[in-house]
Amino acid sequence: MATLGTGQSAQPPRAIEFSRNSLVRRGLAVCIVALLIGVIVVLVIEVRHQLEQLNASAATNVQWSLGQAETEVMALQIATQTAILAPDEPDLLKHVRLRFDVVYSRIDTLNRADVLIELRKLPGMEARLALTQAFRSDWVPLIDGPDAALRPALPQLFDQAELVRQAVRALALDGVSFFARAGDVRRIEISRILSSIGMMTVALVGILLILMIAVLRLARQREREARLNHETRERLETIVSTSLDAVVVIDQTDRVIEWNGAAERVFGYTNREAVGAEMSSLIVPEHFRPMHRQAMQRYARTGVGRVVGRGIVQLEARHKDGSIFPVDLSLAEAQGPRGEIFVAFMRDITDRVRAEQALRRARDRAVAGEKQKAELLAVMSHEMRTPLNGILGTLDLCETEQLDEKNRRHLRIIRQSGEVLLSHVNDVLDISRLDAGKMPLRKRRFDLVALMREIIDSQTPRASALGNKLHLLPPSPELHNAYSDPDRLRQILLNLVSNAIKFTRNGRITLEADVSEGLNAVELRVTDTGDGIAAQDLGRIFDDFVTIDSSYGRRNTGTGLGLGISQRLAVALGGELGAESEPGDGSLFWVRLPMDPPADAPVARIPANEPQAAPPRALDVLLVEDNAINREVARQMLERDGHRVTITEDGQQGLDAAAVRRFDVILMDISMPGLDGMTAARMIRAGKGPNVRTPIVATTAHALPEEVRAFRAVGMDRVLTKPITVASLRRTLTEMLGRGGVTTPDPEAASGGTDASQALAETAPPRIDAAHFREVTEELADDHLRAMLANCAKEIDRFLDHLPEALAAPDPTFGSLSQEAHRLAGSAGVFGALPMAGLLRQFQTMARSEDLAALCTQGRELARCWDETCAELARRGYAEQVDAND
Amino acid sequence: MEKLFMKLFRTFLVVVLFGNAAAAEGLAAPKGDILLTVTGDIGQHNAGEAAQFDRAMLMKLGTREVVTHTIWTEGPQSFVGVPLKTFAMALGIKDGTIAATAVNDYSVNIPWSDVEEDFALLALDRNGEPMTVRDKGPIWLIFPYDDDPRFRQETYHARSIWQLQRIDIKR
Repeated sequence: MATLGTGQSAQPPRAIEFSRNSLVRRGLAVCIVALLIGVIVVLVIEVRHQLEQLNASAATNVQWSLGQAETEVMALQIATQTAILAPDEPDLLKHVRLRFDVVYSRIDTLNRADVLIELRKLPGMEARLALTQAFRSDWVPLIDGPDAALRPALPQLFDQAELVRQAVRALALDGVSFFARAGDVRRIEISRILSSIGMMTVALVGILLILMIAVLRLARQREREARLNHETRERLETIVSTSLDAVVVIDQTDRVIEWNGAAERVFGYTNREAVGAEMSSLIVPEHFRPMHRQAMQRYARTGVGRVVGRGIVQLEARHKDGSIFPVDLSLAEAQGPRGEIFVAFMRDITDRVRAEQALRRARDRAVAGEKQKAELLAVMSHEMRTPLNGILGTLDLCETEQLDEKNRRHLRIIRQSGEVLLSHVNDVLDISRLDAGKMPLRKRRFDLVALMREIIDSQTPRASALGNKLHLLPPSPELHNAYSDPDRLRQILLNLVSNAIKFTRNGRITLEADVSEGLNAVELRVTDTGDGIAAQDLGRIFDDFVTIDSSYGRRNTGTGLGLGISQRLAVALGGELGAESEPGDGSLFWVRLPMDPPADAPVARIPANEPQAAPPRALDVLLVEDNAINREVARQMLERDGHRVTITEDGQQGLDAAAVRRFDVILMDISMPGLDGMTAARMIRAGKGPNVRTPIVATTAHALPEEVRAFRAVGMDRVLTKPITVASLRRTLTEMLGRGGVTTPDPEAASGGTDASQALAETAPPRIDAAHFREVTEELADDHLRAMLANCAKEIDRFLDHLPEALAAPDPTFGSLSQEAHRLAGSAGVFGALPMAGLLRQFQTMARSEDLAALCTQGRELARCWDETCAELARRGYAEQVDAND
Repeated sequence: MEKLFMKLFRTFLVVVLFGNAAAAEGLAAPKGDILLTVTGDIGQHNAGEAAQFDRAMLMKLGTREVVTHTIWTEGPQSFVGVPLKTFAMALGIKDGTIAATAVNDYSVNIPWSDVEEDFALLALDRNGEPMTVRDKGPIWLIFPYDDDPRFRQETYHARSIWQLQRIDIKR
């Protein structure tokens, strides 16, 4: 192909240059030839003119006339002589008179004829002509007179006629030489012109010869080019015919021009069948034919194609036997002898597509499995959190002031262990996020010394139980102001310490923090004097679900994930985790982390587990909670801090209570039978009751980020994750009301949520929440996001499309509509389509109340909102996903 | 003498024209001077095998005026006379060569094509005056030289016979 390419690229410029030169040369030649022909024509005309002149001169006739003049005079003399000799014959006199008249006429001609003007100008002519005129005028009276007078004068007439004869003769002789000379001049002129014509003709012939040679050379060059073209063509034909891909060439009218061997194999038509037939009727599946023809017409009209020159496009093609199969198509456009032609390369990709489909199915199954796992984890976390909520909440209710120091310490230990357990549950939930690199880290300033003390305190009882001593080496004061995620760090250290305790009997476990390299590389070490780990196992202990040996596995926390999670957490926090060990000589686990606070980090906050001051004033709280234990715990916590609590047991009750009077804050459970918390919150926000602007706090065990966003979308201001603790409750209330009741998003979602109540108050909120959407795009791989988005859009499209039909049915299935709307609201919320999600939730509620008229209105509202949402998504570069089902 | 000649000719022409109108009656005899004698293959006779014409007879055949230059005269000349074709028709001549002979025995052959073309004129008057022998009369066969370059060529100059006296028709 390389030589072919070079040949083709080198050829055209030379041809252009050649044609330009030849054009100039040809033009010049044409000009010269035209000039020569013009000159020759002019000369020929000149010759013709000269010849005409020669003719017109009537030289011969004139000379005859001149010569004849003498003859006429002699005839007069003879007639005169005859009359003298026969004086009695009157007829002879008559004859003399006639002859005189003839001479008279001749003399007249000599003196007057135009043709003789030049001759008459010759020297001596005047005298001769005068003589003739005198003769004529002298004799006219006698000739016209009576015979008697004429007869005696005859001899004199004869003699005078002789004088005239001589004069006329001399005149004739001069005339001969004069006209000969004039003729000579003309002839010389003619011969000069003729020789000019000759020269011109020779030049013309010469130029024609040169042109002929040029034409011959041109012809030879053409022949050479034709041969080259022929060779190129043969080579191309070989390439086409041996191509593994089907090569089909069509013209503008869709007629097949070329059909190679591969095309025969791929489509089943022989070359003889295909060439000349309409391509679309051969290989384009019937349902694509109108589209194909439109595309051809559009291309012919606008020159813009969706396939031409766009690289490889995957399409469906039709085999002779009617089967449809996928092909890769690459279409190019070229210039043929009769206008544009299209060259299509096609490859049967049935096998590849099949393989892809199998792969996709496998992936879908895997993804579904992953999803099931995630769902399982979510359910489990909920199931575990509810009893934990009870434990921890009840602990908070213990009258700690009335206990002695020891019991207070015990209670604190119980509570802290419960919290650790809760964090384990959260960690299990986080495993998938960790693996996906989406572990939410909450880095902040904290007191590492306190954290280490807390760990020592919490683990000392367990250590003592195994005869171990737990030590904290005095840490550097610098560590009071460390910066990292304390929860994650606690998780790591607890894991390491509890491991050390488990594998040590009657030994010594030391926790220390080394800041010798500065806060940006703090090394935390857990050293034990226990069993140690064999060298060959040392590398494997951090692997997932690896049990080094039965004893290690059994004695570990049981998940087989502890060290793996710890190591990953360390990496996620920007550090590393390692171990050193000698069997029988104990182990050393170390974590090296950067802990220097960034310049703009907020000042240290009070750790989450420290008791929180109650809000400065007593509040009117509406508590909506269906779970009796939770309700009771929360009520007591609130009342102990002096707040007035109104208790309701489900969403409807909550809604009713909210309609009666204004509260300072509403705590709203999410999962409730009947009217759920989100709907209730949305209805409070949407209504005109006294609590339209009252802060609403969602209480839920579902702490997944997308759910948090959904809560905000319906106008809830904060999320309080169950189990509710006094500390978290106080903090929430303080933060919210400490700002004068103005609702603000919490720091965790500072970048994620908008102020929903404000957003709802706005006339035209954006269809896609920008920050929310950005977060989603950061969290999800792009192709995954697109697939999800396309799926979601498809489902919403389908829902909206079927809605009118479903509502028009004699017995609308409100239940399933409600469920579907609920599901779609969640989906839309995920992508930050918050208005859409809100409308869908309204719909869900309306469907449950079976309000058909409202549903119809809401359906139209939904369709409009969805169009706008799609437009917004298209602007954000997801046109393909949202338009896929249009 | 010429005047008499012309008078006779004019009279003769009238007769000829009448005669021509009734061809069966034959050609009348000339009454004036005989200007033209026609011999040879002719359909009409009034003098044995010949046909003789005076001026009147000729003028009666129908005349035409031609104004032209000639090489033998000065300035434009107005000629009036009988078209050769008219003359030939009057004599019932359908074809043949016209051998014309002048007073001085100058003779020239005029092809039938010249008759057919109807350019040739047997001129009798020049510039309003009947021509005499002294000014190339009484009959001068002329062509409209100014109308066509070919008439200005040697051939037509030679055919332009003046002082025409006799015509012989040869088949």
